[in-house]
Amino acid sequence: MEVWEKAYIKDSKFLESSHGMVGCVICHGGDSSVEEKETAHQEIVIDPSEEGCNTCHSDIALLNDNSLHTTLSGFKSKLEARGGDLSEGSALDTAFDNHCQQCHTSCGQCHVSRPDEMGGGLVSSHVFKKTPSMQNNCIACHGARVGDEYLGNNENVPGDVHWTQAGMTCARCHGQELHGTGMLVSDRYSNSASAQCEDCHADVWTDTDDNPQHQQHLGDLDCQVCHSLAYKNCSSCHVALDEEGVPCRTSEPSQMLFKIGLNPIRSAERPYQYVVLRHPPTCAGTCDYYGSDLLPDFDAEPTWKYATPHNIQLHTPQNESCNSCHGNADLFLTEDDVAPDEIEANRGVIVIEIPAPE
Amino acid sequence: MKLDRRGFLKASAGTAGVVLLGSQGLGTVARAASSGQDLAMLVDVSKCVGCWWCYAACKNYNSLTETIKPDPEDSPELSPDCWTTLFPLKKGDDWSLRKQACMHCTDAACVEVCPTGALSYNELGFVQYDREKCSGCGYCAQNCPFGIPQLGSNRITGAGVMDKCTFCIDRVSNGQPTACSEACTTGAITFGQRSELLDNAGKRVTELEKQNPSANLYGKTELGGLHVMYVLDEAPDTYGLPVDPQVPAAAEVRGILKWLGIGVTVAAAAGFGLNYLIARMRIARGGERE
Amino acid sequence: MTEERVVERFKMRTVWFHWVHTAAFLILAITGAILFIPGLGGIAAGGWTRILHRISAIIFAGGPIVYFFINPRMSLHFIKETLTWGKNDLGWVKAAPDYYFGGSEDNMPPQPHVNTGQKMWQLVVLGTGVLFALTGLVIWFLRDIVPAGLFQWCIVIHDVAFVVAFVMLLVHIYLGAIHPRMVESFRSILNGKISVTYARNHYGKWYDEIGKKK
Repeated sequence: MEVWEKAYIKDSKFLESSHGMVGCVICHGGDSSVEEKETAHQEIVIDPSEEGCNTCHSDIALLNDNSLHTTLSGFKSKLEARGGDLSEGSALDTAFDNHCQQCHTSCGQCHVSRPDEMGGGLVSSHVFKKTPSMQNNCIACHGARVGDEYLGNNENVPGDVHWTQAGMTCARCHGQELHGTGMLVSDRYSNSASAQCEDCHADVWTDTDDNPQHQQHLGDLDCQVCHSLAYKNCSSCHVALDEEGVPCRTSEPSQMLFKIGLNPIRSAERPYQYVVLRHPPTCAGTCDYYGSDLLPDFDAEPTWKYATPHNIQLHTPQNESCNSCHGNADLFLTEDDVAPDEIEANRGVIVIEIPAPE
Repeated sequence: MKLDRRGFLKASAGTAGVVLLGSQGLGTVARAASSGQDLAMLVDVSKCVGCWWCYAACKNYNSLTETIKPDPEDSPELSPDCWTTLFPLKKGDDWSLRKQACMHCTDAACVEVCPTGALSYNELGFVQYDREKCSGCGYCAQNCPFGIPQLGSNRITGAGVMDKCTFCIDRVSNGQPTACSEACTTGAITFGQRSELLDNAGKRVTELEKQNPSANLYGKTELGGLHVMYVLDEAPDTYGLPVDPQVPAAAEVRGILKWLGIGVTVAAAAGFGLNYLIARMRIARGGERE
Repeated sequence: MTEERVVERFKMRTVWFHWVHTAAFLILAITGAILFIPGLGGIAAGGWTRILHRISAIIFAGGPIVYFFINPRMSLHFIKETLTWGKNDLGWVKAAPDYYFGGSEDNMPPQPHVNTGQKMWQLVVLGTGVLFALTGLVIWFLRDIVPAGLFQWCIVIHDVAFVVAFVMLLVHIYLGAIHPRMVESFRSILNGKISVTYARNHYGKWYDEIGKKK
């Protein structure tokens, strides 16, 4: 799109709306009285989310200030757990700003435009969307893994039944939780408001009479272990700047795998012993471009992470019968599944003793 | 010369009497209290969060120079280019803001002193003005108890036109609310029939009074009743509002003076006529020396 | 027809000054009245009458100052004349009612260069002129600099001065040009001269004095 096409507002519905009838300058600054572009655009604020939304939407803004999308505290907590130094100006901080920071979104990047990282541009002529667009906002960033799984874009793997059969968009499960709870959290599973299967399917706990498998395994396994399919796993991601100094990354092609491992984040809310694990695109040498040994304690965190693949099915290969799972070593994350230099990191999640067949 | 002193005194005494008695119907004294059909706005400062959207909507609708959201510390002043603003009141670390613009008085000093009739009362109750008629004299600005009319005029030639809140006359005449009240995100500014707004205001003040005894309603009876009223959480003068505002005495005096002047001139002319006839007759009879 | 003997009552420069000042005042009066009289205000729309008012004001207020520097002696004489009042004036006042209503001329005592009535008018011109100029300065240049209250009262005083000056102007015009007994006096302000007869009858005291000088 041409730059001006991204901002051309002519939708009368918007212009007559509350957000539209106040003109552009009150939020975006600049000088609307001059004709010349340079002067008119002096001191213009392209994304006024920081100061513009919080006066009226103060409750949400207060929560959102500490949300994961805003602070990226999830990334930071993992880097710091690995001994990374994220102080201002450090090598890791520069790497973070060049690469990780791209995932930051402001109010506007979900509710008005597409995320900057995906090229920006208004989603619907500057109309403010209470529910961000699944395709233009959520999947724009969360496309490669969650998006493809959910929609069924992966070869030979059907999409999530919540989409293929119920047509549910992201927002149906993941609503206000995205604004956070106001407290800084270390990852998305620490958000006490995050979506849970039981939010709709609470009856799984009460209807166990009809379901011996549930009777047997509820609380011991998370739902995805039986109900999800193979999903993308990435590895060896290297972050760097290209010849023109543009941040880029390279990684090996992804692999479709399904691996059950030990729960790395056991808690009262997630008491499961066995969960589904995914390998995200990290490796010990991820930040080597920026300096050596930037993550001295790399093994402090596993590289196979707690996952909730978005390709839920009622019947899956592994829940066909007891023995499709029990004794099936392929399903489990064993030592030989893990890259040699990552074995130490993943000690806590590698399954040593596969549950025996019945 | 008889006409000079005695005639003058007689004439002026006579006309003064007529004028003072007749002034009731001559528009120099207060207009009848506003009718229940009048439209008005109510501003509840306790609900204002300082988003400045009333300011922005007014600028946008009236094609005035827009600015980025101001800082209460640097609150813009009313000007020919700014017809509404927020009057800032520092309260501890925070700011309390009162939307400030034309109060659209029932007994508007500006209307009374405007020599060209550019300022007048709209049948819906607010004070409208016709820019084409404005002569730029500035009387309105100097007489308004709230200092609202803004005149950007050339100091040497005096040329200029006054600007102020128009009550969005084009919108309001078509059944729409004013731009500022529509843009208000918290309902701090409400628009509608004055009688209804007064009811709501009364209830709101009662509610606020439970926690805050300083809560009060401003504009119910001031200057015959204002068409922009306030629910305040502090005394009016804390918010820069004059207590018991009046049309300036000088304006009332001028109102009477106009008719006095006309009366005296007419009396003088009549006197001359009489003098001419009598003098000519007596001179002819007496035989002038010349 | 015998040639009438004339005497110079006003110098030509006085005559010129009189008319320039009068023209300025009339324009001021009309453009001012537009803002004063209810109903006429519409003419002032756009503000051009106010610009005219200001230009005339410069002539009205500045003219006398310029004239003073050109003719300091005459100007000082005028001021002194205007501000000197005495027993003689009482004589005029007593005789005036009957005189101006056509009564016998013998009862009016001989008058100096300007009679008491004309001196009254000069006083009004001087007084209201000063008031006009001072209040006018405030209204023109000091709006938003002086308190609003002062501005408002300056307008009131400006208005009062206008009513007084305008009515007295009508009297002046009437007596100077229309009154049956005074028609010839109009000539004196057109070319500065009046007939000897008129001078003797109306300004006897002055006529005797200039006679003595000769």
